Amino acid sequence: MTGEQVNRLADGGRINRSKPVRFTFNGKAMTGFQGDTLASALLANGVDIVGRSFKYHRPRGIVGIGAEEPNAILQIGSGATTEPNMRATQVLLYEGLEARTVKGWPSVNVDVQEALGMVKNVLAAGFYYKTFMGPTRNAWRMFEPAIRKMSAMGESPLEADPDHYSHRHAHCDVLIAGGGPAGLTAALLAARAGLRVIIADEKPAFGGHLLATRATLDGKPADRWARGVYQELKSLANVRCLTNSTVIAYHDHNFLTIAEHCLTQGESSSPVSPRQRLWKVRAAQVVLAQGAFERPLVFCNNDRPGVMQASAVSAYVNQYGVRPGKRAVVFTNNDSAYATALDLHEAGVEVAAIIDSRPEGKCDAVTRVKQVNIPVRFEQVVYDVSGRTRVTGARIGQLNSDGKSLANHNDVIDCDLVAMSGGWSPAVHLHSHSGGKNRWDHDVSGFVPEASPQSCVSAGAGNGVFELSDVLEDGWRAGEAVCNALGAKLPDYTSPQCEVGTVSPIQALWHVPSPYDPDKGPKQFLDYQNDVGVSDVRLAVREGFRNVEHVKRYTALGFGTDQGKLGNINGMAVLAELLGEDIPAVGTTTFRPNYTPTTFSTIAGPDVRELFEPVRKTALHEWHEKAGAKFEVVGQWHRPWYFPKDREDMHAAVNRECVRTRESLGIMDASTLGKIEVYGPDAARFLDMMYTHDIGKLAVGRCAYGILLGEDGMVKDDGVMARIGEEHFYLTTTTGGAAAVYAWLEFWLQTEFPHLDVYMTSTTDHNSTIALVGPNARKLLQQFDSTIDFDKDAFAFMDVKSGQLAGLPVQVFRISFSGELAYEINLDSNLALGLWTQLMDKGREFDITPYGTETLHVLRAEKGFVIIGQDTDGSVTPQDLGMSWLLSKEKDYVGRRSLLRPDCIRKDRKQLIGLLSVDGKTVVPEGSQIIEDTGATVPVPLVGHVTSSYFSACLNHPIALALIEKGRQRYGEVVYAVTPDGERIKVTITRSVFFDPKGDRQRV
Amino acid sequence: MSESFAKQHPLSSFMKTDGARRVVAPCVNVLVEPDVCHVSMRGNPADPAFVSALSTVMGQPVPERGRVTRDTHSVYWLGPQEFLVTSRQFEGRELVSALSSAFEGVHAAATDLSGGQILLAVSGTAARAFLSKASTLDLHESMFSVDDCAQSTFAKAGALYALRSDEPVFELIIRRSFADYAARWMLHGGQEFGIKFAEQHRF
Repeated sequence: MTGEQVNRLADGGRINRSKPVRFTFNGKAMTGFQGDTLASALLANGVDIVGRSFKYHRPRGIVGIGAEEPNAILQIGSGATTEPNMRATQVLLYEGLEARTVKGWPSVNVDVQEALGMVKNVLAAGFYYKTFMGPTRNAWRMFEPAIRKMSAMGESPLEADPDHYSHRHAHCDVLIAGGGPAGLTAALLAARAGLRVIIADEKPAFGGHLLATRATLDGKPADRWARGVYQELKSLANVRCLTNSTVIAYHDHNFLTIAEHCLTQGESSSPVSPRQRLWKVRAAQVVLAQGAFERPLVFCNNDRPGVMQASAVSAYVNQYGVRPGKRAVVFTNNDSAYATALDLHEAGVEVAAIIDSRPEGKCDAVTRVKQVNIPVRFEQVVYDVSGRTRVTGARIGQLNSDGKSLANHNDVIDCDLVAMSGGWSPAVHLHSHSGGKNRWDHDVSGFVPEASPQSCVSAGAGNGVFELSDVLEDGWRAGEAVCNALGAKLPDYTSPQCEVGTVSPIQALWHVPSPYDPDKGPKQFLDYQNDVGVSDVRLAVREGFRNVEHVKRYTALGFGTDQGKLGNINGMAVLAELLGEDIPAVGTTTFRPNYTPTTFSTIAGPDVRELFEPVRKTALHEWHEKAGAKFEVVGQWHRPWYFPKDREDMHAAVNRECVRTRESLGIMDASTLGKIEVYGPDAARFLDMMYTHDIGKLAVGRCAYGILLGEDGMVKDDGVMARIGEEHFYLTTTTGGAAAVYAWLEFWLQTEFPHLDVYMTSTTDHNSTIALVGPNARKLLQQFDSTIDFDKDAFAFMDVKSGQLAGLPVQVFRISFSGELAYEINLDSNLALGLWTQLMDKGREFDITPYGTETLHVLRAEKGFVIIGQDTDGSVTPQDLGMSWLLSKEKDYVGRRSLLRPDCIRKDRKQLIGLLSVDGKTVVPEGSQIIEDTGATVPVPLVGHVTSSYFSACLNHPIALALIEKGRQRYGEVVYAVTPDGERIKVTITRSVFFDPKGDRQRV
Repeated sequence: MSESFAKQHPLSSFMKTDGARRVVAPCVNVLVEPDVCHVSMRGNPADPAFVSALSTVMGQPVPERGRVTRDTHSVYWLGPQEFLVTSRQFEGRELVSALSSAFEGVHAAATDLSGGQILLAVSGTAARAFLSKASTLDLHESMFSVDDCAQSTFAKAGALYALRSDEPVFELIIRRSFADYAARWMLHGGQEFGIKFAEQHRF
């Protein structure tokens, strides 16, 4: 099998060589081993080119080992579960995996667009701004399809997602982000102290750097120590270990989110396991131990396949048994890459030289490589590499003493691998999300976290501590800190022993001097993913950009899936150098959540499709469904809209429902109205403060219509209020306003009127409300056994009575929202269906007609009854609606004083009136603007707008309600309603009551 | 009182369809408990008249903050002057009428909510994990003990949570209009554990 895997080492690595795994790359069959990532398997199979660059279509190879990988961004899988923009370094290999490159035409190996790279100055930084935002901006339309195709970043699946995604809330004493040496140490301490611990790591196994190093702890391989710690943690009931889980964001109040991959890409969809799970964690303390990213070195053509992070080279050799090249040059400005040279040497890969930009120093690293005769050259640099689809050689230069220029540059070393290390950037992302500031540390040559404003400590490489012994100690310190903060007793714990040696300090080398013209010479890439080089930052500075955020947007430095994990610090340092400023003065761009790209499905979780928004149902919902009702969404409620018979359309159904109701009997489910019981000796006083009419005068057993104003005097809600007892009121609210009105009343009661003895309880769900509407309503009720006398004198309009009806306890309100004789019957929702079916049954004699919200709207509009929120929009006063009669002059109430504001009493306010189409046929669209003069010049004065509009079958012509300036002084005037498509409909202004203006029908 | 029609539980249709699915070895069990009355009770526990009226009718004290008292009835603390009573002994109207008589002259109120909310008992080995999908509450045994209660949300519906026993059996009280939504959410959300619905049969 390994025959195909040309770069697989004969032994070593944490892979299972007895379990070959077949996969395809751009359709070509390949084989890796269980335990491989896609990246390690591709390297093992000798794949050099994994993609084409964003702008210049240069061939690109694998650079890194984890989330920072900028080039190996592949399309994985096919069909409904295909995922774009997957980093091959983070994709576990599975049987049958299909991977495709997303750029490169006609193929990734031969890309004609690479020719663009030859004219790269055409596509320099700012190309988009210059071409598409100035006078030539229309060019975008022409270029867009081509540009989108060229820079394609993968495809989303077109099919519905077959998977499900889960959310989980979790609470803990300590959340530890990162399961490397620091995180594991902190976790052990916290766990043994008995704290509730969650530890998460993005990899399938805990250990972090320990899995990729040949270092020993207590004389044993480091990964064995990690496994032991993991097993201990896993066995403890107070610890939750999450693998394949990335802490993606750190929000306020120590609230963090973790994206857990429950199924690997290869596992098929399962009804049991979600594809991914989003953990929403509230932690008392947080330890951030996410490690650090190794920085590339910035030299000419540093993007050629075969140029890799030194640490990634080590990881491929040690962890995966893969040889990323045959002859290597290690190029570094610090000690850490020396380990890579030793790893390569140990694995049988020739290390042609270590090129160290620093002067020779005394440190263990140098001693060790010299012991195995690896040549080391000091004060030298790799300033360029040869080769196009793979490195063929490294061009070496001797640094002058200033470190900024080359003394000579004629030396070339043949190699196919350059392992580079420009130092380490602590992963301060989560710390930054938490609101923490970062401090530039010269010794680290990177930004390190300062104290966090939240309950959080950073540890390990993410804290700027890199030597293994120091990392373990830093993890211990973090564990101690969280135990102390939570008052937990520190457990016994001894750190494992590891080698401690002497170290030479890093020497900053932000970009390597070259003999070429800095603008026209070969590109020195800072950001691989966005093809941003030193020359682009130079251009930005020449064009006047100073602020790092502006430079980022002008050049695209730090955008893309990797969000600048590799390139940002180098880019900022180059910018600082060009501006002649310190790096801290230039600063960083903002680190924003999420840390790695997160699919929308994970964020949406289970709240999708039918569960996206709650559906509130009344007790009669299923009856409506069976009766064929069409539903309308009102708030979260699903209310019957209309009940089509046979093949009626909505218009026909609504006309029938209106006519049958006014002629005989209609029935409606009004259960969604908000209902509030108000009790207490001060109930009347309280309601008097809230509603505008005189409540104290309302007699027990009587109802009144009332409106609620905001503090601004604008109508907020309306409803019926009934006095059940001296100290007991019942009020209704609009369906959509129920929760807000209840909260509004409680707000005033608790903050402004706490001296009033009042209790309120919502009974919206307990009470179902059945409206029986029409001239035959009384006759139907009188056919039932009832303790209530429905005689017209015994039960007058606006009375409320309780009793038994058909053996069921009910409360009946003789109120009307249609202008007809009507009763609203409240009863326990568990009993509502029983009463409804009896009413339907006995009502057959009167051709009882169930109707929905549309007929409700037409019937009330015929009577000029407003719907708050439809005929009002929060800027309408009671006077505007012609409701001055509801405003008590004898008491104060919320909003009263605002009604005296100059704006509320100006004479030209819009007032509610009726509109009739002059042609007697056209139904004016709701929302139409009203103009007076069709010949007026632009801008045409708009004097009002249509708020409600219907065809009235009972009147046999269209009716509309509108708010028009000085409307009530203009009855009889003809104006024009302008539809969105410009049509002008001639309408006459009338009173807002179209039907039964004296209100006789409801009083019969 | 004779009621001519059987009560219509909000989940009666769900229980006949999706709720009736057979599940092998479920780790979450949801028991729909229909014959429970719900009564909202408002009153000030610092007012001796309220406390004495209450103990006359209920025969048990008002609960402390965040707690439930259980005897003949269960009384849940909802707020400083707000309690919920559930009971299998009475109809809601009977309890309200008894309480209202006892509250004569006391600033207190009792309201029948029996038709407005449902009581579900959620148990099983994965009950905590399952509820943590839908609730922001910390239901860990060290934080939420037997007879603790708290108002929160279940997914996007309001819910009252209480721990009835430490097997664990959680009680969830949800508004009627959200019952079908909540049950469907449970059906989907419980899939990863195996979820089974059952109805408590009437005695």
